[in-house]
Amino acid sequence: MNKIILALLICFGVINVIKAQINEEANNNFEKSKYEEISNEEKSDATIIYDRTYIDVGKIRENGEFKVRNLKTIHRKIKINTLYGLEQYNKLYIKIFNDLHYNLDYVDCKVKTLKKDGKVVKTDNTDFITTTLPANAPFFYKQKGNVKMLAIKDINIGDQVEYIFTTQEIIDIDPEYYYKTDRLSFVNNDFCIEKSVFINADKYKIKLWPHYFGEKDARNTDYSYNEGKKITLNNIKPKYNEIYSNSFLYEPDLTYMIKKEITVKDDTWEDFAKYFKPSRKKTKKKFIFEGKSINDAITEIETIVGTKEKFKFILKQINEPLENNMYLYFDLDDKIDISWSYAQVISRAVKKMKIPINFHFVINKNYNKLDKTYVSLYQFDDIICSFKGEDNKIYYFPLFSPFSNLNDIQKEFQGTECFTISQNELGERTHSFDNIPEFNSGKIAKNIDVNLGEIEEDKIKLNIKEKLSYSGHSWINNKALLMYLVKDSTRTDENLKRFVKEQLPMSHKIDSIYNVQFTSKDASCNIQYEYDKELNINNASEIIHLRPSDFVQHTFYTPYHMRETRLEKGYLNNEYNLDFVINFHLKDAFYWIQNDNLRKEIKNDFGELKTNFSNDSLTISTSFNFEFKKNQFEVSEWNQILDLRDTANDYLVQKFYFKK
Amino acid sequence: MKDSKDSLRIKPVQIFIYLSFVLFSSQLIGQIDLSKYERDFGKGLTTLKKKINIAFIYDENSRSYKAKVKHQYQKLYIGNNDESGLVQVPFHKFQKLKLSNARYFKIDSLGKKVLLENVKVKYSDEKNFFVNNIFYSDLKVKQFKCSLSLPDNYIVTYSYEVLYNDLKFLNSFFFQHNNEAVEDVEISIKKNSNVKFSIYDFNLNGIEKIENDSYIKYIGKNLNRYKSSSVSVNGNYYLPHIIISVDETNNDGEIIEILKSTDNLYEWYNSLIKELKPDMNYINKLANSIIGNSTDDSEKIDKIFRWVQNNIQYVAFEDGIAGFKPDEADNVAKSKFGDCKGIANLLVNLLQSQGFNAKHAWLGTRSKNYDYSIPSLVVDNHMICGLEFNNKMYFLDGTSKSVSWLKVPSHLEGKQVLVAKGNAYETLTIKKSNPLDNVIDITGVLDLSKSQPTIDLSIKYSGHFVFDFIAADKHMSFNSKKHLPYYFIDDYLDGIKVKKIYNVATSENLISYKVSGNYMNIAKTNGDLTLFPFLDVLLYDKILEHMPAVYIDFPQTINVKLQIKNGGNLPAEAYVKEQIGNENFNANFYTQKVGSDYFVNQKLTLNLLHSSLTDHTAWNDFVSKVKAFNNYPLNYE
Repeated sequence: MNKIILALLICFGVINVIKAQINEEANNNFEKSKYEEISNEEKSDATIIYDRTYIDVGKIRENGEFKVRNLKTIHRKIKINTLYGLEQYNKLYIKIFNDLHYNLDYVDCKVKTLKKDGKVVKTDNTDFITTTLPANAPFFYKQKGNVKMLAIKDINIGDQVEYIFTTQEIIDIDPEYYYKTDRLSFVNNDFCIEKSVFINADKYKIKLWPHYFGEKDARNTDYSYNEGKKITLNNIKPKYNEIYSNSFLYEPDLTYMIKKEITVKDDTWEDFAKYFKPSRKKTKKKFIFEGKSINDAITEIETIVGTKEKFKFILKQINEPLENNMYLYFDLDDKIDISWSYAQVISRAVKKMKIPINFHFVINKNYNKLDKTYVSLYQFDDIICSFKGEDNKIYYFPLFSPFSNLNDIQKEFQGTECFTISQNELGERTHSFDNIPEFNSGKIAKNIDVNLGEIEEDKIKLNIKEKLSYSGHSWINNKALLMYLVKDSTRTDENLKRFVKEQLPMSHKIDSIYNVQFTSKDASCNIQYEYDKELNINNASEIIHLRPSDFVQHTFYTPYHMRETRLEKGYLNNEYNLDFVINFHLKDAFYWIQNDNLRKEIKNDFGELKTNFSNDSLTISTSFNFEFKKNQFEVSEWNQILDLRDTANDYLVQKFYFKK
Repeated sequence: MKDSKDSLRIKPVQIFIYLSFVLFSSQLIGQIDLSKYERDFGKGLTTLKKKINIAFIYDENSRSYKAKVKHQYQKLYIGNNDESGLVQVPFHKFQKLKLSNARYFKIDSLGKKVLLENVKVKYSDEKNFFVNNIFYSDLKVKQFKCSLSLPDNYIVTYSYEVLYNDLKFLNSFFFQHNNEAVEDVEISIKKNSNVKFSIYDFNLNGIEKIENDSYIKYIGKNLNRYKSSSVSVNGNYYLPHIIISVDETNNDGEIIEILKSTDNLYEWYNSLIKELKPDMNYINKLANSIIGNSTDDSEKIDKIFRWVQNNIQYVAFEDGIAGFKPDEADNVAKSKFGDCKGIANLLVNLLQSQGFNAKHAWLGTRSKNYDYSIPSLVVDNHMICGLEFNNKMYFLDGTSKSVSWLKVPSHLEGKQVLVAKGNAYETLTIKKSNPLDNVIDITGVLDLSKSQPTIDLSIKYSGHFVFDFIAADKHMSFNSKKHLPYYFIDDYLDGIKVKKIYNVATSENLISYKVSGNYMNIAKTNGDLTLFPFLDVLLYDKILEHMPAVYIDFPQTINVKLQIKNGGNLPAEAYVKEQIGNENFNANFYTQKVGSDYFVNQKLTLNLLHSSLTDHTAWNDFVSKVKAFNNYPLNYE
């Protein structure tokens, strides 16, 4: 009998884990909180007075097994300044998720509206509706899965909305092996007076990597807090959405790690370089060279004459497996890990052959830049190798770029600061911060022949023949995709038609692309094609018009709201030199009303643009040539960028009038 | 006898012919000629077969009739970009939905259907449903998709059954939807002597109706795809469909009226209103605090309406009986949010508490092309407050953030309203506004003295243009508000490079501001200048083949008067004066010389809510003639 009772008690004890609840500190703050007078807010639709995240990690016992429970409490207080702000924050969404492998459960929630006169209106949380996520939710709710949705009561402009909620993750893992790492953005769409993260993880070590926290920026910040750490940032400006903006490169975020034992080998760049050292044990059995082990590969490389040829062979050995399995290239997320493995094998191979080499750890400048305070492989996007050839020239090659040749360095890595590990012929390694040079300038060129055809009622038929050329870095950046598209000869035509369709202006609904031909060389490629288009015209009118933008896709239109006030410096990340020629073949049916305003010329620090035309009565030829000079600009230089964009846009949308 | 035996004997040749026929025909059935479908119907969705069977069944438990509707679909997608092939079937809580089967096929190079996946429909997702971002608490969808990546061309076949527990909710059935071509469609209704129903048909040109003692059947073949645009009327204006309204049922001798007439519809709506038990003490107190010391009735109404406009937010939780029963007035007032019914009901209660003759009123917005001659729930989708004041009926829509109580939002114009009058009701029609009430006036100077001509404009709005401007302004983000004047006029300024907008003045009835920039619609060479001076003020286009009629936001007038300076001499051909169009849509564009100055005048009047639903000739002719003015040249020397 006693045994039964004991068993029952044990069972009860095992099942009845401590009930999850809202973080106590957050809850106390919520209960005490009142309407706050704010003096330092900026003009915005809402002011986030605070946005606090409490992460509580602990061990629990459930069904006789130890597991990890991760409780996350969000406590936010938001002042509503406009109707738009009200519409953004008058609903509360709490993400929940349940499937076989992962559960994110709702624990509890409290919501109140604080009025300036001290009145407090509480929203009953039993009104929650579990639903899918509507598309117009504020960005920090935008995640997959289901949400619990609650409409918050009695909010007017000027009120403060305050809510606190907790979700729970039970991780079915031995707590000894649990670890979590995540990256939290510290920027919202609205001005935020305080954003804090509190991590409480008894029995675990916590590491924080704050990025771009201004003055307080510090690696391994140890802000003591209960059993863990906390970190706060104040007066965070909202996100700006500007053309060529690279403000995201400087937006504050926090990477954290919770782990039983954090033994980071890469505490310093020296450690990082040491950790790179490829051991025999690590590399011996690696079969990265299309099934060949390193020893087999080395035997083969040694038979090749000349350093340059040896590296060409290595590059081919790396690229071939990728070229044969391009889904790996397109789908893989952890490319840097693979590059790291390649680099280690290459390091060992060239050491045996006594050839010096440099490994440059690079970051895609479109998305980030080197943070010297953050010593981690995971801030890098790829590894580029360089070596000195017999001709004393330095050659570069990337480790994760299928179909690439020597010096085929993508534009996003050119001119960037990188971390470099240099290995001499004896295999001794040193490290430094270095820069990838800029090279491979090139352009996108289009030659377009527009044949004006018959007029039928209210339509004119156009036949368009185009030759699209990529050279230099425009070719390098498109090479992997294009070579992949033409690799399977049975689908080449279909693939290229799709590619071409993507390059035509959005207004074109073209189904009739035909005669597609592709040719490529090391430094360039050409795609020729033809399509037909019907243009709506007014049969009541004697004059029709066409615009260059009817045939050329471009992004030079600057919306009115993005013109006047530039707030952040920028980077012309996706601009290539352009060279377009359009020939309008008129036959006898039309003549052109000449317009000298189509001759435009502008030159400044950032580029040079020339447009021109010639007229031989039956053919009107017009050209557009845009060469970029610099790709980073300060706020004060925005007007120069705007002048270039406006001139380009003015030409591209200018009407060419043709009289019947 | 011998003949008979001979006739039964099957010869080997016959077997061969028979087998060949069977094999050949089975091959044919399984084959899809993609190029034929693409040629006949174009790319996109073509429904090869759609079959909807409606039957009435008697439920012994509830001793009432229910409707069982079986749906079968075979859909072909050509050039599809959605690799998942997601299919969503909406339903609500008065229905039971049972998915029967679903299969995805690819089409091989020989045109054969090859099974890709037999979907386990019992594991299909059930999701909440959002329409135009409105959350309906009792509307859901069942959805499934292919677990493999689908090719560009594929077929999905599926069937499901819907049981309507309440016959009021049996309403519209479409033969095709927008952007859907249909090769073969059949909708049949099995007659039942104990269920009387009426059918209202819409746009059934080319659809055959067959009726006998046991069923009514509609058969459609080769329905071409309609291509709607952002300015098209809603699908129910032009797509072929029927509305079934069950008049009455005979339940074991007891005649139960369902929706025999609009009386029944109102009776149900009224019963929902009667169930409301607002806290009138709270409402009275609130209304008194809103009107304060006002003694003038118009002022009281104005204060109550504005309080609701400014304090009650439209949070689209259509929570209640299928979106038909309003939330209690005091709940809405306390929570400060509500849907259209909740807001209308609060207005009615607040006004009634002050002794005004306010009533609940139902209507379909202009997205619905129906009126109350059809007794069906599908007719309406909105609720407002009707106010009888000084012998006139006013319609107050508290969901609008900009109109005054004396005006009606444009999306309600011309619509029939069902106004509650206790146990009775009346149907009234909201007047269409006058085009002269809703005007954009553009006046200015175009100076040709510089190589890139300059233009300075003065813009003024009235009527619905003002309401739309104010509504947009209220709902816009702080950073976007200052750019609203530009984006509001931008569509009318093709060829004008706007550099500056200034002197913005807004009031309840008038908005004005100034615009300056460069004029680009010119061609200039060797001292010769061709100016294209007419602005593209008609924002609507021609209605091409298989396109629906255009939806006009509201009757309107656009006036433009530009003075042209420093242009030199104009030849005589510059003088054009022509009235285009008819009484519903017309334009008068001309140039004029006054002293030494030239003026360009444009007047465009649209006095209609949508173009003709069937005959587009007059509209297209009008558009063509008006648009021709965009390229009308003035040649200077």
